[in-house]
Amino acid sequence: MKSFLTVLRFELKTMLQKRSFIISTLIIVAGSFILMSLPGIFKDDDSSGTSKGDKAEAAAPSSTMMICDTHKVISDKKLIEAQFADYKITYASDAEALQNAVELEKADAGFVIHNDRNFTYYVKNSSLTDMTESRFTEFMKQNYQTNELTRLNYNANKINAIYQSEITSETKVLGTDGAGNYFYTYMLVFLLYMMIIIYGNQIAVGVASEKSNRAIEILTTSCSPNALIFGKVIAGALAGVLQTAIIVGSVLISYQMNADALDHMLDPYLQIPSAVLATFAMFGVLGYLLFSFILGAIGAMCSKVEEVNGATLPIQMLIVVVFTMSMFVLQAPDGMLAKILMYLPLSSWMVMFVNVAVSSVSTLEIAISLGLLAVTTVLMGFIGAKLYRRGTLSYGNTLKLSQILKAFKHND
Amino acid sequence: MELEVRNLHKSFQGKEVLHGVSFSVSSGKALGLLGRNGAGKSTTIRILMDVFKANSGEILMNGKPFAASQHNIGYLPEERGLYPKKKVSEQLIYLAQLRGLGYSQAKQSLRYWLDRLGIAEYENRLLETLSKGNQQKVQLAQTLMCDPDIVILDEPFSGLDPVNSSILQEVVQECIQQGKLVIFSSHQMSYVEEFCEDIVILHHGDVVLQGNLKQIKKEYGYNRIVLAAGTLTPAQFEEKLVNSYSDLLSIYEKRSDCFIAELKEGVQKNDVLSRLLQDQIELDQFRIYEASLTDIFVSKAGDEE
Repeated sequence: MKSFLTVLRFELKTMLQKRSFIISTLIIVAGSFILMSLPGIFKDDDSSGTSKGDKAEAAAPSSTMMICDTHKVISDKKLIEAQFADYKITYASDAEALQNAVELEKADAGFVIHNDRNFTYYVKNSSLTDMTESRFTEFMKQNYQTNELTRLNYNANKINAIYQSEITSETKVLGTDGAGNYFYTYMLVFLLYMMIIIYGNQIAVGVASEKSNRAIEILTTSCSPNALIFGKVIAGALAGVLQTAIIVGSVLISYQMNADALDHMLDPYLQIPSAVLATFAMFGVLGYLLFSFILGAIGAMCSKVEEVNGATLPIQMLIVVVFTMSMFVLQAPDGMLAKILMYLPLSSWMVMFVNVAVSSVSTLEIAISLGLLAVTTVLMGFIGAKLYRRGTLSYGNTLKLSQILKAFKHND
Repeated sequence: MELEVRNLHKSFQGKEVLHGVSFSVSSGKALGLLGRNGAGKSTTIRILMDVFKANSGEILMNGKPFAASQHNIGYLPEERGLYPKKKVSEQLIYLAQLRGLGYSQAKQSLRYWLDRLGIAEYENRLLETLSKGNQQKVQLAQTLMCDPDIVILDEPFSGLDPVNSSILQEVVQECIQQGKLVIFSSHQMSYVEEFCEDIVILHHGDVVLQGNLKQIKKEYGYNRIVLAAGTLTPAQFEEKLVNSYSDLLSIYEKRSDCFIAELKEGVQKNDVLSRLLQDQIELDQFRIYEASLTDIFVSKAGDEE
């Protein structure tokens, strides 16, 4: 235990003192504060601009529209002015004048109304985001409906009111609010995925570097390989959790500081139920440790640091597959696949809390899955220690699978 | 303390590299483990240190099974290596703590050994910024910081210049005087000769010679004399010895400046001397032959190249 704590302290200190760790943390923290502050800064600029000028002027139309309505289709010009308040509307005597105006950019949009259900839209350069035509179509439709209802002696206003009446509703979720939980579950899954991909690889590199700098023989003859591998992996895991906590914490603090400017847009997503957070913490930590041990063991099998990326690729692929499966479970939480994946230790660490967040899972199911994951994680720790020990015997050589199996068989 | 290695066998991938290595060493003595590259020295040491497990054989300490983890051992492995990007003090304290020292004890011991080895000024430098020789000294400090009862040094002199070698020599001598049990492997026979009471010569995984060094030297020099003639050329002297002295001796070895001759059964040194004087051969050298460790080593492990 004493050796384990010594290794843990040394490794944690080494990781926290790394320039890359300090710089990346500072950049991300600063970045989150800057990004969260941007809407507030721009809002302030906008408001200061309006305060100086006339409010009416600020609301003045920014674009111009020209309409050619020779058949007097538009019954009430106030109606179109209300619909297109952002446009200064002028009227052309004929289609040719309208076309010239649009071409010479005297008007941004031009409409030639042929009859009450047909018009031509003129624009100098079209764009995908241009909604003017669809807005005008909507206006023409309303105009036509009003005219026809009037012609048939109906009260157009009353009928419109009937069509636009609102129905109010409220949802009472008796089980799990899957829809409401979707966003933060997605974020937590993604966070866990990123942590394992980034920090797991660092752990593998750390273990491999001891082999390449030959310190491993001194270490394995100075204390037990269990203390070494557990100390190293848990230190790596703690460094990862610490950095993530700093980053997430800074995002939350910067959000709180700028919540008004951001119209409290993230508030609904930050109300994470304690059951989901607890499941995330338990399964996330164990899953993170499980993959850290697997990646640490792979690091012990590499003879050089350069070999680590290639060697960890299959595990990274597995993590991507689990991540993809979790996304699938997020969409269809009650399927058979979700039931199977939430028990498999290689996937339960991510799938279980997705299930808890968007579906209904019994406490017994959670306990069984957690037990399996915990046992697998501890087992993987000891296998990692064995491989780490075995790594001392193969300087300059990458261990082959057959040698690894032999090591377990013969206690070499 | 008496450490006894009995009949160690070790195979790698089906090939046996140690064929029953046995030796013993006790406190206050140094055992020199000698052998050419690939003879099995480092494998034997690694089995002692529990890096490898032997396929068969046993290691005993005072007659009881030996476990490296239960003893305070200072180990300098052949494959040197520490943390290049860490400060010297940081890593030495860490390794000393792993071997049971408290922080303040480790710090105190660090100061002593850095000072003793003349590298105190590098205490707060990154290891990678030190010269190879100084990195070796840091390794040696690491080995001795926990004041071990057993010191195992695998090729400690490799990579050291003469000045640093003499510092290491002094340190090893001190360890012996302090009653520590010292085992070290080396190619450099002069160092082994200087402070090893016992030697073990390994050759292709076999112990080809072992025992007390003085005794071995005596046995190797037994009945042999060194002869060199002043007036005769080496060829003339050789011809004379072969033709006229074959009843007294035979030539054991020809060297550039002398001959080593082996006396026939029952012949005394004075018999040879009387005949040489009688034949009026002017002698440059006439003395008892004392085998050097290099001679012994070459004769036992020099069958290749």
